Amino acid sequence: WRDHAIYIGFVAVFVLFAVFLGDDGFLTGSNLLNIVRQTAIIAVMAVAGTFVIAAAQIDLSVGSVAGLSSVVTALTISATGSVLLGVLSGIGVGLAAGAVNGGLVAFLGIPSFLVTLAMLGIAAGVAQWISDFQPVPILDRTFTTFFGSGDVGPVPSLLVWALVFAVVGVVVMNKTTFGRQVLATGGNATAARFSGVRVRRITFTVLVVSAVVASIAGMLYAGRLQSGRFQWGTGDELSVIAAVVLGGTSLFGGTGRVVGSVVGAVFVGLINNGLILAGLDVSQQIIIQGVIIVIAVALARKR
Amino acid sequence: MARTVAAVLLLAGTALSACSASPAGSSPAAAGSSCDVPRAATGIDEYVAGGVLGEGPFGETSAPADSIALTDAELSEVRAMGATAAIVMHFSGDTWSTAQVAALRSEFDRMGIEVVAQTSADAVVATQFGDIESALAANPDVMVSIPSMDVNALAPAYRRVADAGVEIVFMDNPAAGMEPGRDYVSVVASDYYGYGVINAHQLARALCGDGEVAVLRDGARAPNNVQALDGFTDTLAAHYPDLTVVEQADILGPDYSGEGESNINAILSRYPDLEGVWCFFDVPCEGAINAARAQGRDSLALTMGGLGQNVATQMAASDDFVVGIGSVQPYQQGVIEARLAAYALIGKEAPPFVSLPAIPVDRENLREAWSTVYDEGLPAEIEAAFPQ
Repeated sequence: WRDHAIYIGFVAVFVLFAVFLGDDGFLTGSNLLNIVRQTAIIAVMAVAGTFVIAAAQIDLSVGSVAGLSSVVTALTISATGSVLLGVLSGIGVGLAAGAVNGGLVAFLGIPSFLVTLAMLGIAAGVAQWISDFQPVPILDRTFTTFFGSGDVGPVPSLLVWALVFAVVGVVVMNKTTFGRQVLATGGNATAARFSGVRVRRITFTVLVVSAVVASIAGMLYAGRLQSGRFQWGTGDELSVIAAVVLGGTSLFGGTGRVVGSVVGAVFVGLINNGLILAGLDVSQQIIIQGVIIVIAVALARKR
Repeated sequence: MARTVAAVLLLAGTALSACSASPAGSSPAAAGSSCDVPRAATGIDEYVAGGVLGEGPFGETSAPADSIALTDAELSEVRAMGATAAIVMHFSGDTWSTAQVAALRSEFDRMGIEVVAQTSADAVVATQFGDIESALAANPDVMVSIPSMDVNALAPAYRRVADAGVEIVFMDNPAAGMEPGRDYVSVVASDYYGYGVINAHQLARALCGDGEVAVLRDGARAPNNVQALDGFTDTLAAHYPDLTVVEQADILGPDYSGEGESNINAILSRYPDLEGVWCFFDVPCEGAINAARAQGRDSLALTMGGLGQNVATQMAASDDFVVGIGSVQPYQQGVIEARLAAYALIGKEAPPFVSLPAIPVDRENLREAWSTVYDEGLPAEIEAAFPQ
């Protein structure tokens, strides 16, 4: 049951809040959708993060890449008026950052912690530089509706994004050769290499995918906040890692639970939301948040 | 062998410490030395007599702060409503936010309004966006909030709140694209332009009217902070042409102190004769003190808006760093915000903009100023900092 600790924890906390905060607006559709809106972007990055951690790597640059991508997209849209060019340039940012990360880690053998830590700084600096620290507004309604401000019927578009990424992530991890090779690489790189897995290529790909997904997350931020700013995404790398670990993926590599990561991301948002509705002081919110997460992680640990 | 090594190390240590001791210009024209700058005293007195200088976001003149009150009948009417409120802050833990929230809670309590949600976003815009949505889900009748971190990015969230029929009272600035009466009740601010003016006079007095100064300004360019900067630079230009602003640096947060420190560090390296700094609020100036000390400076004249506990303690202890503060009035702002929220609940017409005058604070009047600003006595820690 420890493998499913995050699901048990999620349900337990949800029921707890439903019982005690039902009258305070917890169970209303709009509140539940708020939780989704607030956690969807982390959930999207956590799907890619699962692959990275399953491959026994780490990507600390996702937050900064998201910020840089939001700025580049916003600047491109405002310069060219074209949403398509804006999106392509945003993804281009992810490809570039990911290729650098992946190249240095996979082919030069530099630890991913160091490479992505450096990229964190570089991406943040570039974003600050090209935007001159100012927000770059996005006035194009098509972009903002599609990328995070809009609704699909009663459902926020962010929920659709998170679901699409979750489904794709689950299928790739569990049903494709690539997914199996990622797990093999993370579990035991030497054994994987000897069984014919192209470990370097897998490592490279996983880091590129992580950066591209981060750049899409950046566009989601840009859509939701209707502007590109270097600060969007700051600190998200830690939230992503927390979500992935809470979800049951081991930091040592070899396992990958995509659904767990998504649930882990929503779990943190669920706690935040419930504590706000409970009318708690901010300091109390932070304490209880920490306690719940420690309990969840302690329960999920294998003996 | 060991002795040789020890001797070499000892020599090296002595040489290094000799190199780093007292660089030239570590205490230029000591801040706090008495020199006569009569314009400064006059300028401050003129401000205090004249009242609020800053205008509202739509050019409004401030309604008089003491006109905002509820009659007994109105108070009973509000109490009978059993209304609810949400408080959505940008960050917490600083003296300003603490005072605002304390005043809001106390006044809401007096008026029988229950606070159903209180949030703080730890200086992260995306978090505050989510906090606004979450607070809305708690179904408040009124919301008091500060959009200053990013008045544009947060606007869609506030718009949703306004569309849901919640009465919004803004601290300091309105969200972009929102209008008083239609989208929000009122903006309650302090005189940001005014404290910039006061700070300029205070700095001039400390530096005897001339010298090189640096500016730490708001990178997010919130309109109220831009007004403060204008107040400062306009006054320098008009009255103190010999005070030169050699550099202006943008402070973005959330690590306001760290950014203040690294910026002043860099500026001091380029301008070793720098004598003063203006900060748009107190926390970046805390970092400035650290930077000055790290460079071996024992004084650097600082003025700022924001009567924070740390800078007040510094000011009580000596004239070396904090030479003057133009305080905003967060506690009184909170009281007025709560009352204007009540106005909206009972349908009483509210002025669109209320601003409180900035209060010039220095060592001499620190105790009185503190109690005016925070509605409490000077904390023991600050009292203890005064030289005995």
